[in-house]
Amino acid sequence: MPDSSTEAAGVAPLGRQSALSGMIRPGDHGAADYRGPGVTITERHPLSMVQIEARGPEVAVMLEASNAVLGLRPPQAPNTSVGDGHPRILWTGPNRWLVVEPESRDLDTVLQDALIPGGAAVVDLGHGRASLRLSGRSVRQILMKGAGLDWHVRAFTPGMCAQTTMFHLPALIDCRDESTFDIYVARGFAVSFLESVTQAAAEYGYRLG
Amino acid sequence: MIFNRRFDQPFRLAEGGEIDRLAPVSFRFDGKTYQGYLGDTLASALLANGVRLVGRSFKYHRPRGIYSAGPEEPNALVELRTGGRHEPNTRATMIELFAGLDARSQNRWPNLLLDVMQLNALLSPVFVAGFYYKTFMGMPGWRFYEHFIRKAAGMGSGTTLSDPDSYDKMHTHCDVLVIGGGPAGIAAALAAGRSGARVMLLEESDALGGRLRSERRNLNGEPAMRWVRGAAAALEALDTVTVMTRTTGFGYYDGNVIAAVERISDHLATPPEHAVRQRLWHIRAGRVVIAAGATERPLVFTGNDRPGVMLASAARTYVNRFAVQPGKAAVVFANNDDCYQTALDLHRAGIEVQAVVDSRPDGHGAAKQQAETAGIECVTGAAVIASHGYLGLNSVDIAPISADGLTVTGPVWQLSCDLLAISGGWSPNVHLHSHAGGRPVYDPGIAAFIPGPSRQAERSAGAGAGTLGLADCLRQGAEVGAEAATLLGFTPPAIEIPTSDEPATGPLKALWRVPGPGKKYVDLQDDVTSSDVELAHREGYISVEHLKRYTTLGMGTDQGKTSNMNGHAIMAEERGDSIEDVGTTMFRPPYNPISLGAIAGRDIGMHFSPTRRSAMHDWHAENGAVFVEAGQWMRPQIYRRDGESDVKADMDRAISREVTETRGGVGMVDVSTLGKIDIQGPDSAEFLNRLYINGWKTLPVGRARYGLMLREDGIVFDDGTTSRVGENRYFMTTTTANAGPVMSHMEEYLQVHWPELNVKVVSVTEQWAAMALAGPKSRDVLAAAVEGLDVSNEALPFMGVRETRIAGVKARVFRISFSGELAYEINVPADHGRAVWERVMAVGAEHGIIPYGTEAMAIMRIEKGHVAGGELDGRTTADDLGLGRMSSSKKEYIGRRMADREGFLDPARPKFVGLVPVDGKSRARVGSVLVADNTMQPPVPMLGHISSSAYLSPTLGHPISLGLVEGGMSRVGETVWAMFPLRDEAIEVRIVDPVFYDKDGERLHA
Amino acid sequence: MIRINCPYCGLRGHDEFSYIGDATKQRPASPADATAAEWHDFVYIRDNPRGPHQEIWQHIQGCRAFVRVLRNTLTHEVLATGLPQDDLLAGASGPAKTEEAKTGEAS
Ligand SMILES: [Zn+2]
Repeated sequence: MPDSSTEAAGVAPLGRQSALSGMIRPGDHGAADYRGPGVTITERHPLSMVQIEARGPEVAVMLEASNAVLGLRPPQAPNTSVGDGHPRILWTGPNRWLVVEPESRDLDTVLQDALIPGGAAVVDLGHGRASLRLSGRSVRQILMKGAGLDWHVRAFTPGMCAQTTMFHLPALIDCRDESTFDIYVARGFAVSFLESVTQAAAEYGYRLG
Repeated sequence: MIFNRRFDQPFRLAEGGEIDRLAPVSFRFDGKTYQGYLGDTLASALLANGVRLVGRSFKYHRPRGIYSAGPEEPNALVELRTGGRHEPNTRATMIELFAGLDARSQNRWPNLLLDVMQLNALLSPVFVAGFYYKTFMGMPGWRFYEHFIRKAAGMGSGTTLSDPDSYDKMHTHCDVLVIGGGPAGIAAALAAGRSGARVMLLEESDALGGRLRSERRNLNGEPAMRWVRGAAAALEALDTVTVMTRTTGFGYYDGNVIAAVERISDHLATPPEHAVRQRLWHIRAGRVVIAAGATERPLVFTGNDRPGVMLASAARTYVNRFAVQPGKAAVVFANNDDCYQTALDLHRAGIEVQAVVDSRPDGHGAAKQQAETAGIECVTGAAVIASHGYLGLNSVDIAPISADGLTVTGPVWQLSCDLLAISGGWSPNVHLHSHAGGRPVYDPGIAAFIPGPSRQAERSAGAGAGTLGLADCLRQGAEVGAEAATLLGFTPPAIEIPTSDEPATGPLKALWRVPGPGKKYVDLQDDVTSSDVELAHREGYISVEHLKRYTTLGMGTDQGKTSNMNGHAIMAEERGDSIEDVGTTMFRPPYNPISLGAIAGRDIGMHFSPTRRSAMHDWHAENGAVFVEAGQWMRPQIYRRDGESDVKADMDRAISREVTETRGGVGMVDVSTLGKIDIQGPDSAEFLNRLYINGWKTLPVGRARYGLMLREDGIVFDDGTTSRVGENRYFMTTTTANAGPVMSHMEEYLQVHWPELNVKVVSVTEQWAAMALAGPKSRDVLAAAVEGLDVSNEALPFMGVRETRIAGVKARVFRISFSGELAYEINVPADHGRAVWERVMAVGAEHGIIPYGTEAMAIMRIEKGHVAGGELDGRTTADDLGLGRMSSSKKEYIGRRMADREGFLDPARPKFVGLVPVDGKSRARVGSVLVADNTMQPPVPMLGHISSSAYLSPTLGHPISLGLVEGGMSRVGETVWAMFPLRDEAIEVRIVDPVFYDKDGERLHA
Repeated sequence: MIRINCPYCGLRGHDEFSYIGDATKQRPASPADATAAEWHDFVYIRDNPRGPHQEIWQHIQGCRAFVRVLRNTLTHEVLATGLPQDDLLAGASGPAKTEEAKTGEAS
């Protein structure tokens, strides 16, 4: 199960300012439905996000070292993700993964120390992306509005992730459970993306918080 | 009240129909208020009120009435709604009635009953096909005539107000997509749906049923609509099946993608708050079952366009589905057995059927016997050869015709009637099959084109496949639906096909033109007559594609749904060829008109394209920034101060102030948009060596170097600084515009050409907020901002790179300069960008620090003679830009072997220079062409052009430009002319060194 | 919209990809030894075949992998895809091979 409570309650130790600061107006918006809002939109911040990448013989070494330091092995299958969020590891390209967790330690340094000796590349991307969690009964409708992949519950299942365009901008989409998705976009696009998501969600009713 | 309402709708039957008699609805047409019922269309409600005249025709302004009951309607086009929701050319037959509906007839002046433009009809002998083009085009007066011609021959008018509603888009995937919710489509969806496949069923109208809604048919011994409701419930119960009503699949594209529009709120006066009006669907299907039905064809006879003449299927729809009498006294005229069923349905609805006129020598079938039993006169081997009436039908002329249908063979008699129901047979709706690349083939059995071999994963079923019997439609629908599921690996169970009570029917006999003189309309929407087709043939426009363009046949909003088949068949008769040989035109999307709102969706205004903001965006906005879009980025162009507006004088003052105060003190600019690429791996230096023209192997950790990249063809691609930040780690910057292309370029060489290099690259543009601190006081400001870093010239020399902390945040400081001043670039993780920016501004306050925008930045780089976008224009070499000396001859790099081609070494190539106006004040525009003399007559040899221009260099006090000119620096001191003919500008400019400012670089090394 | 089978991500709409160029052109392995004519051929000379053609595309909005694509220039049909170094015509007799998506969209 996703861990919205703990992630949302994370305290920013360095006073990081989110790309969406001041943009999230908590409360219910859009159409009112007796079942409550169709989708809940939460910003996940602050997050640590570190990309790890290796080549050739370095890959096996890196997978082993990742497992040792994170307690989690990066998934071999393309477009899949593993982990409960502490951390979560998402496949983002051939021999390339994104390690994500709520900021609680210097993940970049932890991974540099563990993986660089084996030849892997480690890059801190924690400030470069903004992340929204979308959950609720209408979440797949929002995805269908923004992106052209097959979002049917049969087709896109928990543990699958994909990079595609959503509302005309590049997005990394991670299915956490049947009705919960974590979406990552470039930081600079965060405001534009939030506006598109809320516009799309208005007909179902949405909760910001 | 109930009784009053009944009398308010004099043509409404007392019972029957799908209308909700408990829900009366009032609406307006041409300013007059009427009443209908929920469940009506605007067309059925108008007919219920006895409104027969609804519009004027496109060219001749002939009075026109409701002709059909579906999407094929050529006549009843009205303007719907008002204000921002005003919509022209909507079909009254497709508009579901809602309370407060306001519609107006169009194409009439001053009003519908008295239309002065009807004079066109008197002049009709001259308004033949091709008339406008033959007569007016190319004449000196065309522009004068055009205005009146457009006014006289027009469609409804649009609105200039913005649409207040929201439109939406959605993407979806399914295994089997069924288009059309008639009997064949329902059977297909049931068959495929029960296999477990993901099925979508699209129906254009508000409910499933198709023709069954309009016919009095039994299935399994019960009214057919009972079976439809049961099937709808069965589909509803399948969780893998989605049924969408009010949804038209209008286009079939590559990759089995179907575009559809869902009219979510069109049947309401206004969409509820937050609701969408229409949604455009992009559906990717494994297989498509096209069950799009068929369209009834009119018969082509003299006066066949008069209000009161109506397709027979439409007449049945109005009496059966809407409980409306489309007339009180009817004649039915057909070339097939449908005429007898029509006569029976009209008779049953209390309409006096004067006669059935069957053009075939013999009538057929059980229906004919029933009609005769009901006392209806049935005439065979005859035709309606003319209609009469001023604003509506009041009588028809009937005459016997020869067996070949070409001549009148006996005396004419007249019958009074206000309704003439006509049927020329049915044409399958092959549009989607045709969009998908299919070529329809002619089926003489039904005298129509049916789908040919499929080019994509689709198959037609039901009337859309030319299968006209109900039982056959159901059987074929189930078969094609099951086949689609099977082909996708599902196992469909057999489904029960209900039994039908339809009578056996005999064959139709094609009758393309009824004999007799006068205007016979083939295409009612475009006023194309049979004689226009004959004229096209005489003038040599004999292919169907030429016929279409010459006569406008099929070019209206209905795309010839009722006219193409007749028009093409008449052409075949004229040519003496078979219809198969003459062929049919290609159909293209959309099948029905689609609103531009649905196509635009939410991609309007600021959401036309997403925008990117830097981490300091809000600070800029709060401090007077005027933003400019650079690619998708929003960048501060200038910062306004109190009292300044965005008039040009204020803008110019701000730009000059920002340049002057930065050069005189210190300024800071947001450069977060520059591309940034992290490069790691043991072969990184080798990779950089191959990418850039200059050498990288000797760059020590903690130093930056300016680099220039070429394309394979030797042309300059991009420039920027790259720093070595670790033993095997580099940090590259690119121009803002090329951030994406450079990243992709590097990935291409690593993945495709040099997979042996162990290098990993990733874009970190968004990870780092970047700010450039420039000006003679920048070191003082930096010293006050950083924690524990010696920033002296010795400790942090030009091109030095250091890690430090600012405001407690890990930061990288690069001593590099774009402005030509002593300058530093500070990079911090983006979430800290604003805090660090504010910190630097705070400690800089005592030094008079100002923020500056892209305008000041651009002017300072021109003053310094740095190349940028204007010079890196995809045509220039490193030599052209005076950067050839950077090239290392000791290594191979991308573009090297093409850069020394003969043509690139030509000394006559224009080379990089500076330019100043001789008069010291004229501003030479970017793009101006440089020539030797402003008095030369064309052709004037071009010496070069202006690539960048500062309309004023605040530092020098006059305009300056950069450009490329033949001879380059060897011509310093000479003058040439900068010409901009579009604005009639000619400015004499002197060629100078492109470095206008601090030629020796003393300032940036200070 | 045509779809391209990314060797990693499976079938994706072509709007996620960026066309890079003609895959039949090989960059000279030893740049200094290649003749001017060979460079000219690599940089400028392109056939315009009617029918199957090998191209390089980048899955630029997805995993960023470069993909070799065998595309029918007449119908836009994508006949086969593979890694950049694969030759999609080698040994192909009869209908061109099509790779199944390794993961990604299920339908
Ligand atoms: Zn991919």
